[in-house]
Amino acid sequence: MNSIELNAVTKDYKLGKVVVPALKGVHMQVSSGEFTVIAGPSGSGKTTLLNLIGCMDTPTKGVVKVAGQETGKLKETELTDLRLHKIGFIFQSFNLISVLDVFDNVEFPLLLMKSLSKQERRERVLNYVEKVGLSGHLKHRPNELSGGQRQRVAIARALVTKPEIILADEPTANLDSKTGQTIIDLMKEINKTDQTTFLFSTHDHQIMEQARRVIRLQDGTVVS
Amino acid sequence: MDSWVTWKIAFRNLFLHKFKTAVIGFIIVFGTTLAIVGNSLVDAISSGMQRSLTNSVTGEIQIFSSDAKEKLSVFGNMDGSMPDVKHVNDFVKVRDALLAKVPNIQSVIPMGTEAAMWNPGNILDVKLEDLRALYSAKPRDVEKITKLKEYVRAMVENTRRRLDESRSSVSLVLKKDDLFAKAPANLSQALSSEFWASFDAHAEERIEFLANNIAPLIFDDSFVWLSYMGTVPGEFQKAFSQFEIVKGQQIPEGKRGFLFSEYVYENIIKNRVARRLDQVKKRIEKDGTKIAGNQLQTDAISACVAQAAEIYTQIAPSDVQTLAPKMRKLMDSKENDFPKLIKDFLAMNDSNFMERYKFFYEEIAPKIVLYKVRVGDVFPVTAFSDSGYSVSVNMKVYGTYHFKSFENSPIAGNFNIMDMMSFRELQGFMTAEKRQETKALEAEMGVADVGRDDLNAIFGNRDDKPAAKTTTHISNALAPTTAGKFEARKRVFEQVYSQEEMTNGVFLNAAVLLKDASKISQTLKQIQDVAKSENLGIQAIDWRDAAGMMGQLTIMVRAVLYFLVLITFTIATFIIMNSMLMATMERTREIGTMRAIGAQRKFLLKLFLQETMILSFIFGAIGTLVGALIVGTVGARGIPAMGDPAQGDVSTFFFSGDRLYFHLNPVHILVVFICMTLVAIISTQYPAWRAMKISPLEAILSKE
Repeated sequence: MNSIELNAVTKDYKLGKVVVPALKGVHMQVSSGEFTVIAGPSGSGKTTLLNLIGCMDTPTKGVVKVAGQETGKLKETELTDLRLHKIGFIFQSFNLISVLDVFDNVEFPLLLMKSLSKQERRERVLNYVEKVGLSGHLKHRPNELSGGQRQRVAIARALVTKPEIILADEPTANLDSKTGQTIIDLMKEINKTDQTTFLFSTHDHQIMEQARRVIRLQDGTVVS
Repeated sequence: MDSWVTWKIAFRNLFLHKFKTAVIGFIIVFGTTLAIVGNSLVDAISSGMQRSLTNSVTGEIQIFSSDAKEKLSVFGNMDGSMPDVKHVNDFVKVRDALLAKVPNIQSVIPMGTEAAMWNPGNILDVKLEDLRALYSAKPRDVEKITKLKEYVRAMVENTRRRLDESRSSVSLVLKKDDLFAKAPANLSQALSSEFWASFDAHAEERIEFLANNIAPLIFDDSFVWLSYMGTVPGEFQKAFSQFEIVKGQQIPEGKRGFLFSEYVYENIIKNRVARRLDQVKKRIEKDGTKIAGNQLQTDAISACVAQAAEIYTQIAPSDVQTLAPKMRKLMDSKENDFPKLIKDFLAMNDSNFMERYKFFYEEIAPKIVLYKVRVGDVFPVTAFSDSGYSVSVNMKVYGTYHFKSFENSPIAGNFNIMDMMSFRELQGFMTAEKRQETKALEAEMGVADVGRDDLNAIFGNRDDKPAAKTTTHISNALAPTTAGKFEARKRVFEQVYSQEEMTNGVFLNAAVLLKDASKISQTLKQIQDVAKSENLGIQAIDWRDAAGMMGQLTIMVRAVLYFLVLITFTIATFIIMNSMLMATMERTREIGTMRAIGAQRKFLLKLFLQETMILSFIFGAIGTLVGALIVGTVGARGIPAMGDPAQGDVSTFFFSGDRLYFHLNPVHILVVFICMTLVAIISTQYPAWRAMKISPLEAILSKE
């Protein structure tokens, strides 16, 4: 079963009067539970591809199917709901809410979901915070944590809703290689235990080597 | 969803920007404090004014003719005229119908307000009239005549002296007059020894000459406008509990008569110099204002000196003999010229004022005409009808009155009171004896048939004009009246009437006093219903409307207050909006992140709204608390009435007493609460809209 399916996807951006094609007819499928890297130089369309898969944007042409839904046919609120329930995001610069502590940051998407009791939320949050090894830092604010710790919080936040897909946009770019490696290890472990689909962009060769599958992008098309 | 996280985010964001939050907080605290304290103040003034008006003139409700051409305004129109409210014919019918049908009515007091002119005449006129009387008396009192002649001669001498000193001090009205041009010639004639030597032989002719040619040259202070209210004095006193007689007595039941307002009596009727000295003394005693260095005080003293003639022309030469030595002793002066002595005396300073003030009232005041009308005097009141005819009625002054707790208020003291009978007559309505008199006059003059039909029309149809044109004109009781027919009219103040006669008849408006004053609007409605069903031909308005401009004053004050509060809150709204907009920019990535993670747009709206709500309500509550604290402390102690004590405090009328006490009103807290909610909602709209436009892509595109 495919978690992600792209069919002849084109994405154009308008820069003033000039139309810049970011993706030029991309075909790809990612199966459930895969651990996939999208690789390519800067400007190759990695981020655009992730945005389309992450339901933050819809394609100019073609079909993007995420968790069985065709994103081009969804309303804005439905896309938001899809992001909340099916997708977890890990950002390059962590993007934690600065005024909230670790616990609150991780709990945040659960609150948006509105479906869990306080007790359930608490158990889940503690479970994932423990998984990323930050149980001792529950009351810390992001500015009291190191870069690696912040990214672990971000991972816990992405996982806490038990999404089908985790999208990570260059998650190790702002970390040193050692910390980056531990983050990758953590993601691989979760991929193994939870069978969550991982799709992340990177141009770090060390990480590409560890991925089961690498999709290479160049000039808006998949080259291998 | 449990919303505490949004509260937490909102709180922490506010805390993060302490300075900005403090600025916004200060503005909100200021606005809410202003709203709370200001409204309490306006409330207090408004209810103070209600007390003042309803207890002094208007009662809770005023009724007047439904045919009124203008709206009733008890204190007159803006231009000083009285509104044309027509009249209602049958007071007793209206009163009895209302008392029977509207249980909340305590009493109905007939009224009418109007302004009349009175020419008190000048001192020479008065003395000449006395002289004329002495000559016509039998036997003649030669000693008195001699003394009075000396006095009159001295007055003529003074007149010439003043004319020489300053031509502008002589009546402006007369400047272009022939009389003024001939004045020097007339004065030398009146001062010639021949004029006085043969005075006794040609008394009537000499007096005429002086009255016609010299008296008009004397200072011209003569026209006095008096606002008066016609009513049934006894019932008025019963209905308005604050009413109190100050000098003299109440007008006896069934008698015609006039009561001066104490305020008018002391500030208009009293001799100008004496009045000024009173003002200077009041300022010294109440506020400790020294004469030296205070413009008002030094101006008052120099005005006294400039108008010294109003004192020395009134003192008879025989009195000068005894007074001058005493003054010279008091002032340690060698001045032999009496007018100069008076001027020196009036040029008072801080060290001698109290001593001289006392001397003035003990020695000088008894020798002059201190009040232009004394209690017990009879004086003519002249009213002008719309058609331009004047009607004069001789009125006996029984005393003066004031309203307790607003003695100093020129507004409560605005009206002098007269009986309803005289009022109707001055309005040009026929009284029984007037009708008879007119008939007699017509018979005598052989015009019996002329105007009969007019009269019938007038009495048959209440819509017609008052019978002003058939009334007779008596210009001045002090002037000679040759027609013997009018002798009875001059004594009209001695007539006695039944209560029924006094009360019943035409009235312009009437005060309705209620048992339960809190039910004004319900009672107003009931009166209107009864008026319609019983066909009474009246309409009713509340005290606020009846007081005209005066009643609108608090509404205006409140409007100004609301305007200020509105401005403050508008400023607060814009500053909050601006601050939230900045926050939106600053937090673009955070907002994008929230959106990416799955926050809907309305979540952001909520987040922003909560942030402004916290601002509004925390600081709104602080402002309310500060306001309540101010109201609780200052309001309970009261604000003292302001203004120049000598001029009479307008503020005592609004304050309904010497101090203004004010209280917290929960309604205003509610209003402030609603205002703050509005501020929060309005200021959030645009920033939130901008925030909702932020794409989740921002989470990825902008770097840390």
